[in-house]
Amino acid sequence: MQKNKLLSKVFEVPHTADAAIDVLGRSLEELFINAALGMLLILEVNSQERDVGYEKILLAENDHESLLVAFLSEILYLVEQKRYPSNIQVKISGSQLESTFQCFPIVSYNREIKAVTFNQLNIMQINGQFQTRIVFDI
Amino acid sequence: MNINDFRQISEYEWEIKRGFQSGMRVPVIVFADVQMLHESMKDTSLQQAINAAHLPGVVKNVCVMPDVHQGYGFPIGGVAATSLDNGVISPGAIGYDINCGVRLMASQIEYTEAKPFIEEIINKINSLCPSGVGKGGRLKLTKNEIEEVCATGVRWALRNGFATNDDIAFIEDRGCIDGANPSMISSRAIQRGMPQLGSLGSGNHFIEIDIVDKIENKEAAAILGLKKGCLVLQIHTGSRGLGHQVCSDYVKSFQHVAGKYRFNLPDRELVCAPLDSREGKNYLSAMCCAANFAFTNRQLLAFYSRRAFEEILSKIPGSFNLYTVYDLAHNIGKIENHEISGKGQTVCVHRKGATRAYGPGHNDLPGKYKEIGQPVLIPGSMGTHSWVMLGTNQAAQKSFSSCSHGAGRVMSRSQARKRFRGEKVRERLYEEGIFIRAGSMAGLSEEAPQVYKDVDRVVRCVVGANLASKVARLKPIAVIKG
Repeated sequence: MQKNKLLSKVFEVPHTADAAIDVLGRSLEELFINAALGMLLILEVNSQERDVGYEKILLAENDHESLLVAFLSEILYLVEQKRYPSNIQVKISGSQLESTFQCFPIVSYNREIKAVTFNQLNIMQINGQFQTRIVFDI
Repeated sequence: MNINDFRQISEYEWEIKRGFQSGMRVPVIVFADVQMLHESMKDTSLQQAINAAHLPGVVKNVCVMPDVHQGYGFPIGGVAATSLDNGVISPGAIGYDINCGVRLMASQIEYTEAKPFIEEIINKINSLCPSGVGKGGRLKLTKNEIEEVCATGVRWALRNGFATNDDIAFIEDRGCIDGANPSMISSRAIQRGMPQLGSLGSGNHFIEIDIVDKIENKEAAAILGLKKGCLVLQIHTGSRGLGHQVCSDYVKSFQHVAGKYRFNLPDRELVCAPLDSREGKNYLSAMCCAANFAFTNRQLLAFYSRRAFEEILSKIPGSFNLYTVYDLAHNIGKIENHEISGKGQTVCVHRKGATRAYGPGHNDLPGKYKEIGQPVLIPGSMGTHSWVMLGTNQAAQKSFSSCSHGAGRVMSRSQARKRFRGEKVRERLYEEGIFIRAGSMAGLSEEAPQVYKDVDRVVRCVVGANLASKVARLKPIAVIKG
């Protein structure tokens, strides 16, 4: 399977109908941030330079996979509301997440993601590196 | 997998036996010719069907349609029925775009007369029916109005002047599935639905003007109002952000439910709840809300398309009426009665990228169609034919009265972008006599005709397996892609 490198730690995985990425991170927090950046690349967002302030997301779920789906779903919702998150910071404690980011107005985006799915989602730590696959419904 | 893993039942039916993988509760039946079977082994779609055969309470067999391709848990083109007594309902096996489906509208407008106006008509539809990424509808509804849409479906459109009784008569479930309870959907789902009713969306959603270019069953075509050389319109869309949110909410909350009921599933996207549990009933009720929203969404697009035809064609004499032939769901869970092992049983039929296909005589069909069976709509790509077919009584025995929903993708979106340029796709289709209006050229390249299977081949399999019979073939002349 030939993967297309989107970022240094985000690879696009071929998928017949939808979209999938493999994401790496030196920490869980970095994995979550890279996953968000990968998703934003798939959406192909054009945003304005004008910062409209900081926002915060607080989430609590039963496990890290649920937390990742919930986190990315929140970002998807922000994009639908025409707000682009930048300089994303993530703190994870147990199965709780706190994320802060700057928001910029979105001019347009080229692709719609219907949802973040649990399909093939499995956060693993291999050789000190966190990794997972994420499949999006397009 | 390889061909030796299948038992051939007929030229178009193949079985993966229950014992193929541990945990399978039923076999998988694949409807395909040998070439399509080989092609379906190139991605994970058949493994996803095998995973679906693990669902608790699944009965008889999981079915895989000829247009199958890889999904995100359950295959696109998959059908699984679960027992109402001890079975489950799985939101992921229905999909995020709940009641994504197709509306077919027909007319007595001769293409030869309307030809000079086709570009104007498609431009008018394009201006009245918002499409593309992030685009909402013309109406901005309140929370209460969205709840009313969810609870009453197309009857809301009728009360507000956007539908006729004739439209309602020819929509699956008359445009409103009973049991919808808006209190079962989240405030975010409602909020996302408020600006989106009457919008097409993006991806593979479309509005398409076609010509009826071949009639295969004259009597049935006459009953459906399909006349050779006349214009018809297809609308393909679903429940937009409201439906996506409903599915996301329940897939998330069911992650906890799976543990509670000790379900052992091969994929977390297949999480489910017993149909007779509080969680299962709540989801079913929420799903009905999203399905009713989707029926109403297609109704509004039909209303504005009808208006476009009337406005533009009023310049020439004749009737410009567009009447609803049928409107059907292809991502849905339906409570239906089926014969299993010689006995009638009530089941929840999960159809993910599959269309209901009732045969002649079924009680749920509109009176006009009772003798011929349910219209089945199989759209091709924007450059190829679509088919109007009829459900058969054999489909009741073989596939829980289900059939293919389209051509089915064969190429990934990123590969399509590398291989095709949107501008070139549009140019080539224009040379073939097809006007294209698209939200973005990148999106158009992802939907190039070459990324889909040969729809005629899919239809040949469907007919060969006796799941549906041909009525008419449609040729595209103008397409709006989201």
